Amino acid sequence: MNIEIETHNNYQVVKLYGEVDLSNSRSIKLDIIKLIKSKNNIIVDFTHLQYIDSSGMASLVEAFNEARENDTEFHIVGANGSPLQVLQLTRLNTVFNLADSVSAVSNNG
Amino acid sequence: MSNIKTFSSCTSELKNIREFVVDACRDFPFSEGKVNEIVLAVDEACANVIRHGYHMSKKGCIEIVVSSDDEHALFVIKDVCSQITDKQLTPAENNLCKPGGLGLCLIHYVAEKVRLIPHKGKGNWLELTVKFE
Repeated sequence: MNIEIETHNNYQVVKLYGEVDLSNSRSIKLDIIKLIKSKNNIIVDFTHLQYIDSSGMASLVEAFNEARENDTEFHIVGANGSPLQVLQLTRLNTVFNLADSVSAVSNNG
Repeated sequence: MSNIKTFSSCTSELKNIREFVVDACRDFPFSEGKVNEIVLAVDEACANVIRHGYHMSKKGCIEIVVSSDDEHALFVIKDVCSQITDKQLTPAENNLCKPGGLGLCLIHYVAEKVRLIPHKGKGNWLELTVKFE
């Protein structure tokens, strides 16, 4: 699992690579929440994410709730394959702001 | 015929568990999407064992037995943790904005039947039954 953080316009883009599970979901949550506490708008990029389990989704829900409390934006983009299935199975696709790409969010923000 | 493999209770083993399940599913008539769901369900069950059964200790073991009958694939996850009850396998109401409980919901969504197999000796034998498509 790798994580890269880039700036696009007014957003911090958190790119997730590989697989998110119980072994790494907590550290990802802490990284994202740290960005949110610094009042950054967040885009989590799933484009290169191959797998995410419920602990990963729970971490993102916590980050999403943190963003709401801090009045910052929180988006997920590029979900495909198994991670998209997990979003749909958990119905979290109806909770998160989803978009196809980083530019679809950052060019409109 | 059964496909059996034992893993340690280290979270880094979850990746190997997922690969084992993908390989085991090649013997069954499942679509790629269904295999993804089954991998998720078994991963969630094993993660629950590591987290709640072994309390994140790496010293435990998890055995996975994959078999089939005419209409179903059967995935049995065996541990040597304190025994749990059927009630603990019932998912709580799924409040999507609260962390926790999602894993059990996913397991029950994917598997047609989720049950504890009675057995002599220590631990739990959790069986997930998945109907062939």
